[in-house]
Amino acid sequence: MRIFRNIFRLYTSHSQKLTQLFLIFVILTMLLVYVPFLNIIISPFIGFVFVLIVWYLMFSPATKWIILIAVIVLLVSFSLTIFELEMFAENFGAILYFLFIFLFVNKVRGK
Amino acid sequence: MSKSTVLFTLCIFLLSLIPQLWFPGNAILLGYDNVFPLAPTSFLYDRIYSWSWLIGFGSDQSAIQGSLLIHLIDSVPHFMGFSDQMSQRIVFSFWFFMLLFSAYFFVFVLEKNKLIKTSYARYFFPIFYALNFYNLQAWWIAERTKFSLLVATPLILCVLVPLLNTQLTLKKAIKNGIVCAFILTIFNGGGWLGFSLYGGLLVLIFIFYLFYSITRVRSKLYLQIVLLHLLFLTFGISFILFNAYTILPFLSATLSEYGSLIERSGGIEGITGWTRYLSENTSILNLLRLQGIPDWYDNISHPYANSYLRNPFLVFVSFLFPVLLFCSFLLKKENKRLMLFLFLSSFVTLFFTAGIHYPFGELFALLMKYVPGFLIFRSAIYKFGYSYWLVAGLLMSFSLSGFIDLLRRKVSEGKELVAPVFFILFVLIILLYNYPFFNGNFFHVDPHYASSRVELPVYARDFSEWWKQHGRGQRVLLLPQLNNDRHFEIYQWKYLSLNPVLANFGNTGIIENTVLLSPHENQLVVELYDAINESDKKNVERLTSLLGIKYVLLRFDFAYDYPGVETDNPYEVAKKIENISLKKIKEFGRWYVYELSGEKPIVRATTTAYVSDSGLLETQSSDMVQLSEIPEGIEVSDFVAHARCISCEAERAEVGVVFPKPRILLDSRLYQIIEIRDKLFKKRELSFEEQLFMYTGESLKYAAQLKELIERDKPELYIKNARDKYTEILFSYSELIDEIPQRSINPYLTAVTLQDYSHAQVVFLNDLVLQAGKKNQQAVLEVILGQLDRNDKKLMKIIDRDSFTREKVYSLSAPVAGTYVVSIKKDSLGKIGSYQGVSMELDGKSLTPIETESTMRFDDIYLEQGDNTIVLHLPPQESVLSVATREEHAGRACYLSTLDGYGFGKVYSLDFSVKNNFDPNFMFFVDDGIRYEPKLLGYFKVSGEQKKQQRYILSSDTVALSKVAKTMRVGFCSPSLDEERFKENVENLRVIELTAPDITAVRSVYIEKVDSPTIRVEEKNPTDFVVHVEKAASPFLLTVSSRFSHAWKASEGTHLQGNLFQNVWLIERKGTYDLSIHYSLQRFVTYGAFVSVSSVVSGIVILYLLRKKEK
Repeated sequence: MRIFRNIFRLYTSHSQKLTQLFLIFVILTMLLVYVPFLNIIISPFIGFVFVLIVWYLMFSPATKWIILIAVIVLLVSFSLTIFELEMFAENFGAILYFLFIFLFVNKVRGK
Repeated sequence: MSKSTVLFTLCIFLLSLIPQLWFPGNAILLGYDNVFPLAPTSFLYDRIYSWSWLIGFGSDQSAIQGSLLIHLIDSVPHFMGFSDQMSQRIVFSFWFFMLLFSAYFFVFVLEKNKLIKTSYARYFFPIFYALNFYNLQAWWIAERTKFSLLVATPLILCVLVPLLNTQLTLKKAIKNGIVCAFILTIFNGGGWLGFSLYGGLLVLIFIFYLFYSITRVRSKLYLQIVLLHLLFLTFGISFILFNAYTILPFLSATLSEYGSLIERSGGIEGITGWTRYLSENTSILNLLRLQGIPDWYDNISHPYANSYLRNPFLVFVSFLFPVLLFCSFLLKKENKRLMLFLFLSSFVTLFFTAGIHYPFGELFALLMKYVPGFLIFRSAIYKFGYSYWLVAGLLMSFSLSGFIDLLRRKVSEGKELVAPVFFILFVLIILLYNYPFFNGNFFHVDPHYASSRVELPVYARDFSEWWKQHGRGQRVLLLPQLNNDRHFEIYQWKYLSLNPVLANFGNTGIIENTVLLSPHENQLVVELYDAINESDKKNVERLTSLLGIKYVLLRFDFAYDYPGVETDNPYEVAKKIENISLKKIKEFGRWYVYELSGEKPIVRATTTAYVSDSGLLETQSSDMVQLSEIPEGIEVSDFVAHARCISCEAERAEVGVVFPKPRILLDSRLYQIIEIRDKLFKKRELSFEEQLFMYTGESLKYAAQLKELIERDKPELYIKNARDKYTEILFSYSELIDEIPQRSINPYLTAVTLQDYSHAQVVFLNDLVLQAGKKNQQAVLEVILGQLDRNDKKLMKIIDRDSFTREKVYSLSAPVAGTYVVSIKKDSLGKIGSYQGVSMELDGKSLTPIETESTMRFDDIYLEQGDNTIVLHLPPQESVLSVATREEHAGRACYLSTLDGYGFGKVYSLDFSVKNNFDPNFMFFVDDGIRYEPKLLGYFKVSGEQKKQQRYILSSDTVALSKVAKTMRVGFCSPSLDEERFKENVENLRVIELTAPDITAVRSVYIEKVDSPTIRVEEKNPTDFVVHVEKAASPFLLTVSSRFSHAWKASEGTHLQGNLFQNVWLIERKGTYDLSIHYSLQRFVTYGAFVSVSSVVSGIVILYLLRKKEK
């Protein structure tokens, strides 16, 4: 129960940011998927990058948190690879690349 | 130094003995791209000179002279008397040791400069750096050029990286610059042809430069930046000076051909296509797992890749690498600047190594397109990969070492044991993970038996020794010929390479149709092979004299039936050789040497020349020289012109028409935006052909729009709007059709292609007429069909498909005006039944030929100088298809016919009309007739009584039959097919040959025969000859049977290109005298060597003085 309480506390303390992040995510997705020409001109990857950057700027996660996320992403990728679904795992590689850059930025900032 | 340090270090360096595990029996590593000097003296002697006579008719090698140092290392054990195998064992262990040492030394330097505090990285890093899949792929072909740069990179970083933590002084900048230049001079990546291998090193240096500059700007240490520039300037200048012996000839020869090199590689598009192919599997995730090597994913018989891709344990271990990489961010004790530099390097090198791969691939493609010279890094993973593997390996070593340090701190009992136990455990895991290094099972990547590890037969060396003594100044033709598409030399003892095995012995004058020959050289060598195969003694004599070939080597151990690269059976070739009475003079195991009669000199003097635009005169004797232009100063005996068929290409054109499916229809409000976009992005300046095909594309687009609008029953307004736009396009297009004969490069090809597009639209719209429910819709379509019909008629006036094979248009470019004898080879006319109907039309006059044994001849034909248009009239081609017979194949009844007189390289047209009223499995196929193995296949939809006309072009390009296939077979099959159904459903079945008859025009002029002078040639070295000329009574032509190059100079005479590729000098001086012929670029090697030696000495002196002052 304590874990759930902690998670809930974490959620409530960041709920505003989370809402904003989801809002950005939804708007971007709508823009990039449904608006004609924008969906041709702009790659969906740009939206994805934008959301990742916004996430980093909003939450400024500590190095150990980013590493933890990276390990989780790696675990998911590993599971997909084991089931010969490398095609999907490949996208996680792109996330890892950005996490790597965030770690670098954290290092520059001395966090 | 503690005992454990010594022990661990020793253990690490013991890994350099790994190559000792790779040599079972008498095996050596040879083949594919692995060139190893098996006779070092001759090999190195050849490499000293910028012109090599090893393969073919000689070639410039200034771009690879830098590999001299690498091959010198290869040769040292040989010079000490070791065997081939022992030499390789020593050399490869040396390189393995150097890889380990450079990595070890790098970490040692970092420790010494207090940039890192972790204690085990110096052991882990060499293992990560030397044992990985990037290196394993290089070991497959023992790529010493790559290893040299792999060694150089950490050593250069040893010089640069400590600067992150120290102040740069003037002395230090100069000293470090010179040291870097020394490192890169010794480990130079094999010369300038392999410059692209510098990619990884250049990226790391650039990152260092940026990083250093940024940190110094932040600290306002501007002088440091100036000194850094000085360091790199010293580095660059010293490197150029030290390597002047290779740079000067390279700049003068190879670099000037950059543009043509790109063209030969398929242009920018072709190169980026290659990069895309190589980058298919270089995803970020694969690279983080230290994988992504292209060979792994497209070769099901790869010796070890499948284990790493599928074995769960190995997959799991591969995911530990990125975990280690991420964990390196948790290290707190290491120098922050160093770590930032390494982190920055890791993701930048990762980007470059991934090449054109999602997500940043397009950025890499842009670099290739717009950064001058970046195209050389087309094999991104191979050129940049080592820098990524270096940085990732180092960071992972830090993590592992940090982990052991952490354990040591945390564990309260048995602290002394924790570190060694975990160290040994981790090392063992890494070593076991890289098990192919130990079992040596990585040389065999071919699905068949070829390998890069072979047992060289003794007779190959014996022949090489014999040839060295007897073949000086001579040439030997290797038989059987190589497969002319893929050019691999393959032996039954597993050797496979594009490089002849004899080149490894430094043997000169080796002639075979390798990929290294120029197109004209290849053309003549293949003609010679054909002459031998046809036992055409006269042509063999003519071509061997022309090419200076005195001997023939028949190799019975040649893998002539190797799948995909089949060639002539050597036992059959032996019979052909007997027919032309070649004298067998020597046997070396399974290699037989034959000698041709008469002298076959490489340098000849003749007084007779003839002029020919392309190809040689078949009656050319050794005392005649072909020149492409009329020379001044010597009389010409014959003028020869080969006619070029300009309509034949059109016959062979095959167009696949696809109608684009419109995403936004005319009735949409967004359609205007589409039109704006089209206008904005429309190419402004179009060539005539581009304009025509732009209109064709537009018309297809509107046809598709109409279909969608009618099918969706959209308002008439929009349908009419589409019609107006469509007809407008067709009108504009119609005006251009009139200009096709004058403006198109090949009007016949253009007209035929456009006809195909036009017919496709007619069929498409006719179907639509049937579908259209409303009369006004049908009326709209009729208007368009009318215009299409008018355009089609105009196109038919240019060339009519029905008269294709009976009327062929040629362009004949006569070198001078006058009367010519025009002859057509009968065997190139196809199957026309009677030769009576053959005639020629010139200037509107019809000419009748005289029939001879092998030609149809037209005498006394007056041709104007320059282009003459000839129309050749032929009787209709007869079908070459045999009567169909019934056979069972794969449980189906088939009616099969074969092609009479089928020949590889010929082009056929398969035509039939077909309906299918009985079976959805009714199909046709084309194969080689040996076994049921379709190379072309198609099923016919059940269509009731609706017939469809089918046409297929059958050629080596469209049907992948083997070169040695004796016939081609066409079959129609279905489980329920019987003779009645076959006849009912398949009509007008025929295969005709699409010929391009050989037409040659010759104008012979009588000239008085003058004796050629006697010449004697003395070779000073491979780039310098003296020709002693005796009693030259008149101007003569001195021909050297070597690849034409402007860099070949004679002491006098006019330099010309003759016999399609050879160096010819027109010498007008009479009497007895000496001429010198030399390859002028060699002087750059000589001057360069002088500059290099003096610079190296100066560099050493400067370093000594700087060191002395420091003390």
